[in-house]
Amino acid sequence: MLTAWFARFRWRHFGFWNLITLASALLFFMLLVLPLIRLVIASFSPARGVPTTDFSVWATYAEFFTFRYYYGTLLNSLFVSSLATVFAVLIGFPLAYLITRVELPGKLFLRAAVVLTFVSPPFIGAYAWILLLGRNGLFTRTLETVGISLPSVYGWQGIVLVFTLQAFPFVFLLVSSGLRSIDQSLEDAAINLGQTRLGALRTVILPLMIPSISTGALLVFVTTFSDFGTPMIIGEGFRVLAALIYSEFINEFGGNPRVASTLSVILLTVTVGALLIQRAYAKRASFGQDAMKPLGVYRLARGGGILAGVFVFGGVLLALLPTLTIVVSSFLEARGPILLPRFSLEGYRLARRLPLALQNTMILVTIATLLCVFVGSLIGYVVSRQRNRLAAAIDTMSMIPFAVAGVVLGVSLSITFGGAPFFLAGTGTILVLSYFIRRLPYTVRSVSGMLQQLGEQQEEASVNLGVPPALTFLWVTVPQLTPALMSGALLTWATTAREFNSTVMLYVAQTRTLPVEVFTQVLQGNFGAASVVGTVLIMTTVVPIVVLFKVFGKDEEFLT
Amino acid sequence: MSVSPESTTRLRIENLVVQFPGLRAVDDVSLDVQPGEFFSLLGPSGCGKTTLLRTIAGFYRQDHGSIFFNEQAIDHIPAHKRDTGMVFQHYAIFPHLSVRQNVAYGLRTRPGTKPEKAERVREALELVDLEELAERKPRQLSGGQQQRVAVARAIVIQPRVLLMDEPLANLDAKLRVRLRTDLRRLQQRLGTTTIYVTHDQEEALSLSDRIAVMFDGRVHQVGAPEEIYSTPTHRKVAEFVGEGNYLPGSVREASSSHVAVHVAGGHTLRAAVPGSGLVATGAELVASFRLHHAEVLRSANGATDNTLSGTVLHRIYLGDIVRYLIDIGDGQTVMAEHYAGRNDVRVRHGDTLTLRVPQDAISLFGTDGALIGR
Ligand SMILES: Nc1ncnc2c1ncn2[C@@H]1O[C@H](COP(=O)(O)OP(=O)(O)O)[C@@H](O)[C@H]1O
Ligand SMILES: [Mg+2]
Repeated sequence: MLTAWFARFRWRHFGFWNLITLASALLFFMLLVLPLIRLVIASFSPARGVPTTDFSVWATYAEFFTFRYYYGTLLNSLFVSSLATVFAVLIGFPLAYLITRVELPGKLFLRAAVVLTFVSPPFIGAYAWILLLGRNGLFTRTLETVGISLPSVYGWQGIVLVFTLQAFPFVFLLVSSGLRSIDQSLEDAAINLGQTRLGALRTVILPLMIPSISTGALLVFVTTFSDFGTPMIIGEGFRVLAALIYSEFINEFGGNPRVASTLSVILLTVTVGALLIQRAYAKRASFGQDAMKPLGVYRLARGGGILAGVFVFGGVLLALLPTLTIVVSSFLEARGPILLPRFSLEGYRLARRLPLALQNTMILVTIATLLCVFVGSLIGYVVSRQRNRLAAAIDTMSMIPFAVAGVVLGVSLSITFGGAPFFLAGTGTILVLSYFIRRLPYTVRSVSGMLQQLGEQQEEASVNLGVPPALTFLWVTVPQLTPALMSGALLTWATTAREFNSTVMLYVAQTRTLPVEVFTQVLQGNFGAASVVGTVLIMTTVVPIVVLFKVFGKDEEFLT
Repeated sequence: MSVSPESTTRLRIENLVVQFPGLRAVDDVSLDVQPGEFFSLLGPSGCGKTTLLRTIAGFYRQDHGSIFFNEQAIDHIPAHKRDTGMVFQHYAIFPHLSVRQNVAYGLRTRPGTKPEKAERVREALELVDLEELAERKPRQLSGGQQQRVAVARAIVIQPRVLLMDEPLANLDAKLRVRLRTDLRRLQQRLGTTTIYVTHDQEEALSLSDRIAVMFDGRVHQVGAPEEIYSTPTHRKVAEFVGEGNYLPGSVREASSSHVAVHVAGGHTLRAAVPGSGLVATGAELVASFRLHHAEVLRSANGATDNTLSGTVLHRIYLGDIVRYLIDIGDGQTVMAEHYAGRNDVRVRHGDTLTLRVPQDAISLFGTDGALIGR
């Protein structure tokens, strides 16, 4: 048995791809598994120099679940994220269904607007809503003059509002693409058997959409649960877990890595748990299928049509409002947190740190993107073509980053590579590493998906004609992957440029990026400057997306 | 194209076993394919033909057994060094390369000057009649043209063995028949040892020097087309290659020149098989004959021995021939056919027909399917 296995092993395992497989496993281990292990270890080990009276390994965990100061944040996080998830589904699903199925004007605009919301940087919404609904907000003051006072936008209500509008595109995009896999004949059959169109939606389409909806919901939950930019800006005392990690880690008095690690492990447990629950649930509800003739578009009765139009345009404009607010306000004259209704380019002229932040973003993001594309396509190949246990392990490991929040990754990388023997703290390298490992799974997924579709035959034909595996990859596989890789690179670029949660844990003054700069300016109350940097950031993420859509003819389905 | 010395490779396979989890896709197969031979693997889909072919090409590693090119074992040679030209079932044309670049692909890693290679590519394209389409992209080709690109690409490297996996299966019926002759002519011209996989018996019979018939990973019979068709050594082979009737019965009498078999409806079939010592009186077996070997008669008048009569259940009109499904009693049916003449009296459902089966047209199989004699 063992010798037989060994005979097979020797024969198969000394080629080019076995080397790559080994290297990929090592890479995931170093950049992902090891940091997470270090994180868990750190959560059990008393930090040096931090006085403690309790030497039990569970000390920080015990503390967490004893003091409301700590565990309250967990409850708060669960509360706002769950609410946001529910609302995101309630908005995202009908929006996707209506835009897909119902005759409406301006569909292209609607889809583009949702995508724009999707790529616009996180927490920009929070600060934009303060500009609109805050104490000195535009709407607040306008409405005050006519004697109406709005409920406060600060606190959990604001967080839920911003989270919902920021994250419902996840549900929208997944449901839109899910609807394309349903064949019109299914709806026809339901109607033929006596259902109304609404009945068919409830009894046939909705059940088939459960995997898409639940995946979307999971993404909403995990991203909002891990985000602390928004709560810190608009929460005003409503404390969430991710924000606590941030303040424990980045503390004027040196920070407490043990507490931060403990909190990170708890956050990680929740997000991984959510991922596992959703996987199990969606698997049961999944019926892999393809549409020969996708669902058609129909016209609603008059009243219904108007109602649908109001809902769709209302929802999309609401989601788009923060982005517009930022862009418009960047051209206004600013005095501290007060924006004056006068056009001005002063903000751009005076943005002292903008050039550095822009340059850093460009350089770091470009390097990370290139790494992602090169390494990701090799690993994607390994995952889809190599049939051994190591490749299977790599496949599993490549799923992990989906559930690891930016904050958690930031803390883990900082603990692992910040000090000896790597001394990467404060370097651009550590930022590149974090971007790289976060986005790598997306490239791996899309490459392995593409390869599955392409099939293996062309590669086998090449090998059969005498071309060794490495050259076969270069001559046969890469040319066929190139269009997908290019568009994947643009998407990676756009989404990495807006990365905030891990950057803020790892940056120093010289390596500040655009999102960090926006955040700093907001916290310092320089709303004008924040809008200026924010607008530049929006442009850097929008341009690649526009190229993607225009040049590559992609649509929003691509983002899922 | 010149015939290289390697194109006279003898391919020998010894006790080959290829397993997938829970399945023996190739089960103890031994073959000896002569230099320059056109050798077919024939069998129903899923019987392991592709697996065997891919093992020869080096894409799978066998669990037992060996493969030899001439006297050299190639078991440890990786796929890209085996020098086997494979024509894939779905062609596997490189979509990003033109026809010419596709054909030239295999020469990239082979020695030779540029002009030499260009000349070889040109010759290969000429052989498959594709010179005019050389600059096209595969997308712009029909199925038959793509198939020829795949063939040209495989032969241009002058492989030691040419491997073809149902190369005609994806084409329409007319084209399939035409390309069949083209393939055979090409192979004879090149003289390359060829393994040809197909599930189409007609294709195998018309193309091959020899055929190996496979079922469930095992080779049941190897032989020339005539041999496979007329003397199948197993009921499965007989059923797969050509059509026949299989009547279970019991031995009434076995002599040194005949075996008389008692079949359904009280009929007796006498087979020209020396049976004494081989079968015992009363033993269960299966008597069979090819459809076209039996003569269809309107009435049993005069015909007494070796006839089967019964009522017509269905009449199936196929143009040049007519078939009848006949109930011969005890729930047993037989199929009969004859050429449709111009003035045939129309046989109807319910009419009685008689079949006369020549003694030497009957084969006897044991209940396990093995041939007893014919
Ligand atoms: N890669 C594989 N893994 C597992 N089982 C396989 C694989 N390839 C083929 N099989 C199985 O092996 C048997 C033989 O397959 P194949 O060689 O493709 O048959 P054929 O070419 O004669 O149709 C089938 O039962 C098939 O399902
Ligand atoms: Mg096959």
